[in-house]
Amino acid sequence: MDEKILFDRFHEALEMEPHSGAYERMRFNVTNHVARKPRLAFRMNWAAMAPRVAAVLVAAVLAIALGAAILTATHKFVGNAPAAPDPNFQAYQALTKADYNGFTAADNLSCNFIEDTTCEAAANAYIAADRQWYGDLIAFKTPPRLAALDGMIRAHLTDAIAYNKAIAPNQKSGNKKAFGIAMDGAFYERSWFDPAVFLIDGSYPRVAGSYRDALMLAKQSLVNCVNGTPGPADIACANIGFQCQGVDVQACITYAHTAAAQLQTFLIGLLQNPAPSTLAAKDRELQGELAQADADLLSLTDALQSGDATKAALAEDLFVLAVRAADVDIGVMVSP
Amino acid sequence: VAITGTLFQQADADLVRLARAGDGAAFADLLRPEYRTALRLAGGLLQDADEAEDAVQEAAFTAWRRLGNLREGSTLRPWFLGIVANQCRSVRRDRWRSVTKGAPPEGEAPMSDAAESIDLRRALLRIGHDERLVLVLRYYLDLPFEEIASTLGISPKAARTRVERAVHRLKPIMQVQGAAV
Repeated sequence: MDEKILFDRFHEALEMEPHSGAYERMRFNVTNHVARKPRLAFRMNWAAMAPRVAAVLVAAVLAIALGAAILTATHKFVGNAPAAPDPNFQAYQALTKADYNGFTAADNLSCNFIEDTTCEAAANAYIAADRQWYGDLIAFKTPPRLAALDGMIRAHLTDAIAYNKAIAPNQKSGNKKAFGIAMDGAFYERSWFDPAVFLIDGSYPRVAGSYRDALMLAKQSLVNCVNGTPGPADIACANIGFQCQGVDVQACITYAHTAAAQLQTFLIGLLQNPAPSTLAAKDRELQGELAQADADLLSLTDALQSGDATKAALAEDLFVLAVRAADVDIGVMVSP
Repeated sequence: VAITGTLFQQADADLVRLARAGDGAAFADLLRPEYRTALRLAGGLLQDADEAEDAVQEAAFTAWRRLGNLREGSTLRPWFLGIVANQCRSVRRDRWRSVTKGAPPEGEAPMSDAAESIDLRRALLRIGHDERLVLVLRYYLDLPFEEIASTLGISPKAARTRVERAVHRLKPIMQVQGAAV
């Protein structure tokens, strides 16, 4: 392909106008120490924060607390939400925050490319943080409501450890492809934890307005996935089991990651809206199936990266089975 | 080819000193000449204006924390672009959503240029981050190999090789897609 054509085509395809005032927004946020990502919420530096920002935040917290108090006084809880704060749940929240802070603190060494000399130290810092978190979860009595999510976190921590462990050996041997795969996997896993942690913390934005809405949200995508009717905008899991075989590995891994993100969102929607007591047992079953589908996606990506086609095909099949089971359960739960 | 990044002059050195001392406004001023390029890089990698702005914002915070790693006399732009690229790598998103954003309305026959653009964007999302990065640096940001090399921390010769390999990888994907359309 001619260089000139490449320049022209890239400009035509990618040129986009930034939103007006983008630099000014960045400047304001940097000047006022306002981080956009919620991951910094657990380690706010109040002393460094501009007084007016702190005042706004305090006012917002008070307003939310007042609103919550009014709601508590005027509405009964629906479903199996605890009427009083559960000490075990609060302890689990505290543990999650502490481990997550340890996890994010590991992000102080730069490792972007195979030439970076700090990669081994950076990977080791993450491995230590992941192990600490995993060990804490093993030792803790998981709140029953979070059992499925807790299992997923453990699975992703295991996966993250494996990816991080692969970084240094592949860097030393100069295997760029394997190094790149390990890096992509490690980065992917780092981003997977954010929504899970914010859900546990209670700061994740609401996914659905009610339990039924959460079910319907999941059902729409799962039905299309089961029927193999891919809608390009929102049904990425349809690609797996129907299109993954035969396409390149990277594209397939992308499908798997996108599907895992969707499953996580469905689960968050369910956890934010406790099920009515009549559906509690079925809800646990459904959450278990979503967690199983997520575990199958982890197996799929591992198999793809190791070049094990048989294992990949099996993981795809198992994923589709788990999704079908979840779809059947949701069908039962939403039927009148 | 001359490297066109911002070399630290005295004024920049003052800004760096202030920024290292915690002055956010000074740090923002330091980034100002590089902001648009950084935004274009993030836009090229993520193909979403909102996500690109968020990524550059996050990269700015990261860069500020790591400002102590920047050696005096070194060039700011490749260093910051490397951090932006790293931030974009960690952004998780639905690739299909952004691919279809550029699609023409349903039922409307696409113009050939528009179809080619969609093919290219889709193809870019199918290759790995590192390959996408070198292609965007080269063909969208129009950087010379020397500056690509500085951004990636490799030699200019290696940068050229990476770009060539990435083009080689992109080509068949685009051909397959073209045939499928």
